[in-house]
Amino acid sequence: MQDLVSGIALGSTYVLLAIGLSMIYGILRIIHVAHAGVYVIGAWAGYLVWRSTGSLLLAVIAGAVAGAVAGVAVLQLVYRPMLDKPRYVPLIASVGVFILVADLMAKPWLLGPNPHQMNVKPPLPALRVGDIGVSGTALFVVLTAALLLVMLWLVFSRTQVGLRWQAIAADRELAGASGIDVNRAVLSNFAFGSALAGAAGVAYAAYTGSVFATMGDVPSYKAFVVVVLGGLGNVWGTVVAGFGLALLETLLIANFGYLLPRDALAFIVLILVLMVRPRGLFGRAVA
Amino acid sequence: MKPTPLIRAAAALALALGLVGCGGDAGSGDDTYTIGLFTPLTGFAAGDGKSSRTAAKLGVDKLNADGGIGGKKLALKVYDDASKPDQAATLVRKMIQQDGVDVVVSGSYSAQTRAAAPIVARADKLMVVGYAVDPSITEAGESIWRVGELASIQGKVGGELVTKNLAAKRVAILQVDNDFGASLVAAFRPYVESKGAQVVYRTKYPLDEKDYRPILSAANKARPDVIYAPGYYNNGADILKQAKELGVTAQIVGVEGYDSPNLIELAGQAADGVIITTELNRDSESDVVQSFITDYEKASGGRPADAVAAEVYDAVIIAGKALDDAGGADTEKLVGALENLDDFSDTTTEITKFDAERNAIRPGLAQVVKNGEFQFYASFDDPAVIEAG
Amino acid sequence: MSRLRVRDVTVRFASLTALSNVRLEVDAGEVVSLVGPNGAGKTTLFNVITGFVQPVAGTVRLDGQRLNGRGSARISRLGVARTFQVARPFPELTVEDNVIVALGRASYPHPLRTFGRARTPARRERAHGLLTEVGLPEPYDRPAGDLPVGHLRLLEVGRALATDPKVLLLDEPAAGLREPEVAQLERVVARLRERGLAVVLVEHNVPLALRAADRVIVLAGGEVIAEGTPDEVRADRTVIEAYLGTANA
Ligand SMILES: Nc1ncnc2c1ncn2[C@@H]1O[C@H](COP(=O)(O)OP(=O)(O)OP(=O)(O)O)[C@@H](O)[C@H]1O
Ligand SMILES: [Mg+2]
Repeated sequence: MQDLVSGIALGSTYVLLAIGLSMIYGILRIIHVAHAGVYVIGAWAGYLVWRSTGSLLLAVIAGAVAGAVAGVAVLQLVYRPMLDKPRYVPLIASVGVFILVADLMAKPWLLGPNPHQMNVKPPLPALRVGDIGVSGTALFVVLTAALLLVMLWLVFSRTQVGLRWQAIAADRELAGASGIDVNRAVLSNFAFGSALAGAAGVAYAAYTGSVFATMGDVPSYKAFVVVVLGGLGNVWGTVVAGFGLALLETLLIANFGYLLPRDALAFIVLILVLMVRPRGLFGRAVA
Repeated sequence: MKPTPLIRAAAALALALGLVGCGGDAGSGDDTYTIGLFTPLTGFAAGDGKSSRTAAKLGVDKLNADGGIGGKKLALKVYDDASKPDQAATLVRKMIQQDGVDVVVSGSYSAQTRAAAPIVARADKLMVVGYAVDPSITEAGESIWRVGELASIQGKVGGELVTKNLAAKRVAILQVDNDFGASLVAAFRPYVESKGAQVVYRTKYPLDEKDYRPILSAANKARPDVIYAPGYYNNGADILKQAKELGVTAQIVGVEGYDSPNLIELAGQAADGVIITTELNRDSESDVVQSFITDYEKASGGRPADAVAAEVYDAVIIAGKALDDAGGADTEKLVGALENLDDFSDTTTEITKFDAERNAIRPGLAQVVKNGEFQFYASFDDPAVIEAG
Repeated sequence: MSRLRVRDVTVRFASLTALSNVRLEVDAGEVVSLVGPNGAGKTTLFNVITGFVQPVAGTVRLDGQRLNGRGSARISRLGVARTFQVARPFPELTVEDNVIVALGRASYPHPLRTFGRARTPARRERAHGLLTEVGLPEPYDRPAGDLPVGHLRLLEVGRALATDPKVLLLDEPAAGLREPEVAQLERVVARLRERGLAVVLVEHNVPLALRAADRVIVLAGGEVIAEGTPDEVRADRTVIEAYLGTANA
């Protein structure tokens, strides 16, 4: 049971990161590796704000804003000129941006090579029921993720932009021919998805209690596993896959130890799932 | 900067072609001896690299201030191995073949030092190892000596601490999945079992793990009195914080890898109460130790000394003594000087002697974190604990 | 001045000249049928007008304003709407949302409103009105992907109209429709013309094409081979040889 709680908290951070990636893949069909760079930038901004204000809530907001700005910058400066090129072109550029961010972050005037502690004062009281405990920070992370997911769901399903995102994801060309300003919708999609990544960075930093320049390395590929598992571009499949993977990791490690490296597990699950369901857990059949 | 693969490849090529560091017999002239230190200045262990560099400088300055080595000055060259064994191997080759280093000092971890040791031994150079614990390092050759405490000894010290001082009957082991963890546990486990304690849970965690909740909660279910958790300060900090969050009440026992101000910085309040086995006794009455602690803090801009710093400092002091006693940089004479060395009074880690395997022997030491500081907890003199075998 | 004016448009795909020096003019309140055998270049002409394909020569103007060189979204917002030969819905959106998502500028006075509710009562009413007008039966709350082919074509027309166009390009809207639906479509086209839209109708159903049109243009091999009133074209020898004779035999 304790492991269930831990898995959900960890899963919240996976989902927040992966869902932005899924949105962006859905709308642009770009393998946006630099998303993990946005995650680190968000964590860094959140860390700075936390250090000067002591507030985790402000830190998450700062992370989201910094994430949105960084994501939009990547879109406008890097991807925009190469959207008509074969898809490996933006992919290579994206990997380049990610490495650049990690290297810059390791500079002493940014995060530097050492981890920094981010032992936030839990913004919520800890819960303890029997021998199951949830720290205030974990609770905050889960609630933040839940809130952001509900918000995203509302935007997606209720608002005009949400409808436009769905239309562009389904058929970009047709969306354009139907009068949708595709560039602007892609921009807001990127801003939203990147804000979630920035918030995820802060949430993960607060949950583990540290911030470091290379914190995006594992997420850079694990988020993809989650996205592919969920069915490429299927935002709600991503939510299920993110929580599922975190729970699986937590339960396996708790019960059997590290039979396999934690991060290899993601790939093993991916391979097994793709063998049975080539389009991911919730991918749709070929149109 | 963490070099990009491309830059790294270019750098490797440049090194291979001998483009960098040519003519680098930096200071190994007639009036200078050069010590070459390899240590991780970048990468996950960069904190230990900085401690090593500061401490080595301090050691060299101290020796020079005391009149140098038989009339000559001592110089220090620092090399960044980025926590990579292959890079450490490349660097010691460069030190020896191009830069004319007289004595190599390891300020790095076991894997890097193990990669470097056979190269140094084959080139017939002296290497004094700071804090790397892997027993096989000194087996590379007669010219490889170690200041740090062997894992096989530190594991026994931990076992003694856990079974005697803490009187634990049920022990859980969470070990970092590398040589450091493996060699400590290889000594710790049989020792505690021989003293009648039971290992109720054991698992390995990866070096870069961030989320220990699953294994902590699994360990906690086994109702241990003590959780022995060999690893480094970043592992230790997360373990301490997350154990507190989960309400784990067992005493957590760490190792030398925890001995860093970073542990306390990263873990904050959660660090209080952790007990570790280590080498630097901050409460020692020795003037050498106290002035080292003061000087180090000054040199590092306020960062307190840690075990890594003390061991690297001692490695430099030992290297200096060897050069002094041998009256030159001839390796055979240096080894002879070390074999006959019996005065360790100016080292900071209470070395009493080198054993036949060229490993330093000293009393075992445990420290506890109280109010955000490492303090004396216990020391161990029993030769059965603190000597190999 | 004509509402839509296509001047000397030439399109090449590698060695193939898909259109050469094609001219087309459509006035407000006029229906022009564009007929011709398979591969004549009809769809390509629509692609040029809507910005999907760039011509190597020639211009496209709407009310004198140049369209070619602009993106398709911009062209759509300037007032040119089209349907696709192979019906192309947003399959996961509901029938209603397919229309709502395309609703013209008029219903979004301010860009920030895009973060507002998509399905306001006014917009839903407008969408339902359009869907009823094109003759698509309810329910409108199921995914568009579930519609039968005939209904998808009607949805295409409804979505095109949602953009408030001045010019409507219909690419074989009657293909796959049943008789009553064709009749309904014909009525829709007539009503749009009444309302002052300029309509270009590409149709393989020649009787329909001739019935619905004010003027007919015959395209073959990328060239305009005949142009005139339905009666003139019906009587044209070259046309009968090139197209009607075989297709209508
Ligand atoms: N994108 C393209 N690339 C290469 N060739 C093309 C392209 N689009 C159309 N063509 C070619 O241009 C010619 C005209 O095609 P188009 O689709 O315009 O004909 P159409 O008159 O619409 O025919 P149909 O009645 O079959 O729909 C054809 O030979 C077609 O193969
Ligand atoms: Mg066609």
